[in-house]
Amino acid sequence: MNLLRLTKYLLLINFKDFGFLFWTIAYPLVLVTIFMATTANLGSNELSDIDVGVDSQYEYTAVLEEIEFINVQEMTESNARTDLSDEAITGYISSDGSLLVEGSGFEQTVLESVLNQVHQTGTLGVSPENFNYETDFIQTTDMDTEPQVVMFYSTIAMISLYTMFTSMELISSMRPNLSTMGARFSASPFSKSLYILASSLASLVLGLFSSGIVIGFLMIFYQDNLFNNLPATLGIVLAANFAGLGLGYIIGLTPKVNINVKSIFPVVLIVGLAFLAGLMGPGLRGMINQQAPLINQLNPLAHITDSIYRVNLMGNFDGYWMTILYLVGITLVSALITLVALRRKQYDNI
Amino acid sequence: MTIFRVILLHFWKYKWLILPLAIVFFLIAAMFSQFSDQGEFESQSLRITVVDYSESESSEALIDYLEHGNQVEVVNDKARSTLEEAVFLSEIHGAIIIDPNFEDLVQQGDAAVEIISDERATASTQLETEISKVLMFMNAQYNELGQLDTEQLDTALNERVEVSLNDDGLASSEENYNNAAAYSNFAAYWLMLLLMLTIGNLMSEYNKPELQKRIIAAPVSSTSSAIQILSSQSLVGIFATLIMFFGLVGLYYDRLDGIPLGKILVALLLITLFTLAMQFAINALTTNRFMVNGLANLITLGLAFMSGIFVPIELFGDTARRVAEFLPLYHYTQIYGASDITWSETIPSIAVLLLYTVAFLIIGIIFNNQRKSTQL
Repeated sequence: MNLLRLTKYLLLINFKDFGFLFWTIAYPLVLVTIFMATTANLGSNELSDIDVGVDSQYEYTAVLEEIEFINVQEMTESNARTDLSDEAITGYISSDGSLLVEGSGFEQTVLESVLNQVHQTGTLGVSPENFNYETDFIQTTDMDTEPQVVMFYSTIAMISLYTMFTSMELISSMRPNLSTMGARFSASPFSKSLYILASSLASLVLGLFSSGIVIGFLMIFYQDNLFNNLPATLGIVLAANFAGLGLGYIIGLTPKVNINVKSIFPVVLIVGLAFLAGLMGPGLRGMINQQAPLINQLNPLAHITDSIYRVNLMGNFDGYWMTILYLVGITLVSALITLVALRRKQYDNI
Repeated sequence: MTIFRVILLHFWKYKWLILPLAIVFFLIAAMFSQFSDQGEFESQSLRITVVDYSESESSEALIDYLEHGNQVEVVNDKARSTLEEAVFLSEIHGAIIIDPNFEDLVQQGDAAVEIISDERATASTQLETEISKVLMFMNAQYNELGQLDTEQLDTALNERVEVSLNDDGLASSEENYNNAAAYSNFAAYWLMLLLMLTIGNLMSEYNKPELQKRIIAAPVSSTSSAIQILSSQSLVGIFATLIMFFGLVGLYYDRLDGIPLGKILVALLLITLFTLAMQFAINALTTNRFMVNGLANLITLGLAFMSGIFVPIELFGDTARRVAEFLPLYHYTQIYGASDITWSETIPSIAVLLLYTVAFLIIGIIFNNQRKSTQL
């Protein structure tokens, strides 16, 4: 049987497995739909006007009234305490200039900063005519944050590694001590290298197919354009699918472990890596990158995610080829280990 | 009790998956608990990257000021694209580029620094307010003295208003509650994923026709078999729940004020029972490994996102928020929805979770009976 025909049959077998189709196509599509529904407003913590209560005796009330994002209202301290508890005001300024707040937060900090400035202006000892209140000392560059896009890119990265499942099944099914098929297979004159090649090819086609469907789905239904550089994205996705194959080979080699137990390992591994790369929101990713940057430097899924958003949203190819090399390296090392482990294996009994 | 023991032994096969999962969970939980406040006002710390092309006395004075209470990384050169990327991904609140002619520009009253930030954000306003203030003060000193008086500038900038909390004790316990609630939210996701993956795969093996035919032929009644299966799963579930619960107590042992521990324990037990019931129904429907793993991931991730575990529910649109109110994991979070929540207030959420559990049990029993009849 030639390579292409065998690949075609293996593809047909996989397509007839409803569970496999659910896992590789339906699950990612439902997941990105959920992301779209829940992350539309995730972008930024926008500043709204800050409501402030002041004591009638506070001397700088007029200064605060001049600031456009601060709403000032006079009130007594007892009323202010109630309003603070009800979150009706952000802070209360007493007659001596001290600030009362309900808790720590950005709005409270901005208010504290404004009050500090009012008091520090006096302490600086410079006469009022030397202050340039109208001058803008800062040039600002607005960069709208969209941390939620990382979730979509890490979903694509996650799906790209799903070839891990098929290659793990392939190696497990070829081991005579792990499966009946493997035992029959090892006793038959069928070419093992042809079977491995055809299975890997089929797995790669399926992986690219499911990644392509999710990318297409996002291109059609997501409000913004996530793929400004599609060829470069597909390059990374292809390399990631190869890396998934390699990692699956290694997991499949694990001796004497039931396939049901073994199949959980890639699930947990991929979800865990995706988790660290930003699949569950940008908070944990940011924290990991700050506290333990080495984790995501080694995490292939983080490399894939980073490269996809860099080439698409930043037009930045720094690290692109390094990521491709890293992923191809994983594939080559894994394939080498697999070949050495499977070569001329003999069993006393099966 | 053979089935009971066999199921427990099969669970033991998953130890090398459960252990790392549990360790990773507690490491992440411990990392998050490090950032919790201690019940006093703290200015919001900003993550800032400063590129100082000036390296002058005045630029150092600006950086010194920013370093008070903020996480500042100072570099002499960094690609603009790298800075923009860090802001874009919210890894930093803002990037500051100090012009090589910083001193001259401040003296002349021109733009002396560039800030890259998301101008919609409160953090951006905070950053701009702080930097504008320092630059305005420097400019005022140049105007009056013809030079910078860093000592006087430093004295002025250290003058801060006194900030106090409305109710110190209450704020402290509220902070404890917020931390414990975040832990419990995350613990539910972890518990569900762990139980669905292990039980799902274990039972998909157990429910295979060849094994089921032997079980049917064995001298064990189907009731006894079901009781042994459910009790072994419940034992594992309760064990995992207690680990999560005592993990919370261990991590926050010195700040338990304001944490509704009893309600959190009840919520964890109920979500475990709900997960077991749901997995019972799934296992009655399919033994396909891909389906079991896919559903475990989809249900846990989907419920966690739609119920506000990973993304705060306040950020949802109206429709998504309405959908969330029908989900079991949302009601799980409502059982400990406030630090001072009473048992009577938790009853509706407990009832919803119990109803979900019973509904899935009934579905599971129906499909299980159908499956058994077709196997015979």
